[in-house]
Amino acid sequence: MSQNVIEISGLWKSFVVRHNRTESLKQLFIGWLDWRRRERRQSFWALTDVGLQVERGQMVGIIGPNGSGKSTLLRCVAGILKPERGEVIVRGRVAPMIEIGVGFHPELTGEENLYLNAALYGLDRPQIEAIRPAIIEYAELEEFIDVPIKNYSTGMYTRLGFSIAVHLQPEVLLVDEILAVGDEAFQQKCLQRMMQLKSSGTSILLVSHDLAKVEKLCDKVYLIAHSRLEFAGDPVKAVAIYREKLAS
Amino acid sequence: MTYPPGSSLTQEWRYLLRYRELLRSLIAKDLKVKYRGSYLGFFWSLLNPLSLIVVYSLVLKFIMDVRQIEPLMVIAGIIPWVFFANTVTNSTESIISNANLVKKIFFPREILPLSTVLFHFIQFLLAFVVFLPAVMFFKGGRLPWTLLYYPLILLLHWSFTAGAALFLSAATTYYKDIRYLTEVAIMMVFWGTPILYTYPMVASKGLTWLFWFNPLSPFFFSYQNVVHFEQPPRPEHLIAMLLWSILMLVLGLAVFRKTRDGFAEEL
Repeated sequence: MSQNVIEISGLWKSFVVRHNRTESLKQLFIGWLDWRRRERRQSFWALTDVGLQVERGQMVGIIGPNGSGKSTLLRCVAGILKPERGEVIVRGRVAPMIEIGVGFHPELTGEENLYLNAALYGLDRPQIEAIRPAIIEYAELEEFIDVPIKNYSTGMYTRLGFSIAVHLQPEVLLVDEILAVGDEAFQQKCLQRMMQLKSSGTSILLVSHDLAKVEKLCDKVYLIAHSRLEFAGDPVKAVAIYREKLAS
Repeated sequence: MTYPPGSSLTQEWRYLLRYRELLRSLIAKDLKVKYRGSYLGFFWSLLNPLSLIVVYSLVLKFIMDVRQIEPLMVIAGIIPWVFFANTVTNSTESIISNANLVKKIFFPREILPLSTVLFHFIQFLLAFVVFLPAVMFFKGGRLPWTLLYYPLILLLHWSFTAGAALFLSAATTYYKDIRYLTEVAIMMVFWGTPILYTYPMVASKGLTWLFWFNPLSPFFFSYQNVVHFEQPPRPEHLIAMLLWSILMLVLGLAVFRKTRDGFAEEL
């Protein structure tokens, strides 16, 4: 039986654009005195009535033009943003890969950053110790793991960050456009690893502009444009509709 | 499991507990980053209170001829004051300086101000390595029995400080200049808090009523009592400390819980 790992229904998320943004108490006081300098808020919907289902072991893509709300949706799933309306149910642990190496501190060594980063995802010490060797091996950093990462090359940095994220054994992996980093070989390795996770039951939600890859890899694709869900279903069809939209 | 977890307090508490490794790692990071590359390493944590104690002792004993003020009286208050002042000042930055984390990963946001409080609390505890010998030195080689009250005062003071840290870290996220306001306020509060003067001095001027307006004063009157005067804390101060510590913690938690969902958007 297939069970939905992610279930979103009727999701609405608004954003507030602030003109003359009040960032300090001083501005707040000035605003009381002078209405022209008062903060004006304009809110708009970043996502309107979006629904989304991801089954166990599925790879689901989200495509759409810039600013359409793809990343916002991903952050709602990650729990970083709280939607105004609607329900987000995620069954299991989520590992968001919105950026590689979030929270890495340049002064700390690769190993210390590994512990810190894994803890950020909610792992406890024994869990981290269990996956530590695999992370280091996969990142090919055996020799440099005790070096402060300020001395790492971009490649080493990225490998470590990615390696931690994919070894967390999450039920859900959220990937935001990070396949665009790194060289060809690294991208291949990333993809391989993601397919491997997928076959072991991890669900992957992927935001990407790489339509060819999305078409080839995903089981299902959601097309979002202008904060609305335009299409959900067959990847080939979704990409075709999107291409048509882009052309017109 | 829904994610993020439901809003019941027990659920949240369990969730927070799951992240204790993160709390530990963040504190360890701060400690490592602070001392990495320094020769004396964590001995700096001892040198800091030591220098305070030595300087105050020398100045009060040999330079300022104020018979009313004894070094130990000031030392009793200055060590917990440094804990409070540092925690509160740094807590204003605990969310905004970690904007990158808050915007990209979900974890209980309370961890950030809590790690600030605990980081400084560890420094405070380390200070005891020099503080206790100093007390013995001024008391002729013994420790007053009233120090048994110390952990109680400390616990209440801790909870007060944690509440203030939660409140300030959340408030600064919305209004950035609270950070500078806090720095200025801390300097003024220092003089409004009984550190360089004591309860008897205040009482002789008939000014005790004034100090009810400063929630910190019962804590510092009590520190002086148990360290310097060898008396238990005054009952009215015990009650005041209890009320203020609960009130501050509840206020801090309430404001934090109310605002935390907006942090990622606000930063």
